Amino acid sequence: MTELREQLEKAIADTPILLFTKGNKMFPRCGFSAAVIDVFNQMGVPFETIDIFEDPDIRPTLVSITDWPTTPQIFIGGEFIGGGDIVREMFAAGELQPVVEKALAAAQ
Amino acid sequence: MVMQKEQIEILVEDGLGGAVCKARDLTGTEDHWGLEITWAGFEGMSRLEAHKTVLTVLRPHMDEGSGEIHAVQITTRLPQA
Repeated sequence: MTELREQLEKAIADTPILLFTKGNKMFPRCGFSAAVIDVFNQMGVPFETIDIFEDPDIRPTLVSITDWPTTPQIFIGGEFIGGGDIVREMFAAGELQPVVEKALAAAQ
Repeated sequence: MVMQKEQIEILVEDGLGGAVCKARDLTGTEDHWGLEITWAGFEGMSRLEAHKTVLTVLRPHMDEGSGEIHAVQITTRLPQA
């Protein structure tokens, strides 16, 4: 499990915008995952997804990192932002854009 | 085994003393719930802390626990002053 944890932590640190979802960018397999993918598509920013169904150990490992029981889970600039609800609330309140811009700038 | 609307509202209101919870069945299957929660206890909390506090109450009934609740969409609010 620790090797997977290290891989996930590295992906989180190295990817400015990273979404753990059910399904992936092209084929989300859950409404909430699709909704949050749509937010980042609307913003037109580069982002990556990790499909928790790819490996059954991903989900428990992720939960041990964030202590957040549900999917999707969103990381921006290596920081856990929250689930789909929080990202949608931040997007609606205009708070997501500056966080995204800061993370993308830092990755330059 | 799923929960009824009133059960999930009571679960949240018991877990967050003094909170008011309005549950909405998002899919008609009584396991995807939209929860609007108004609670003074959210005062000073970040969105993440507020949502985590709610999830702590729900977790025993979610996929990790009994599985009665499959998914929740949470909206947290402070009571109108």
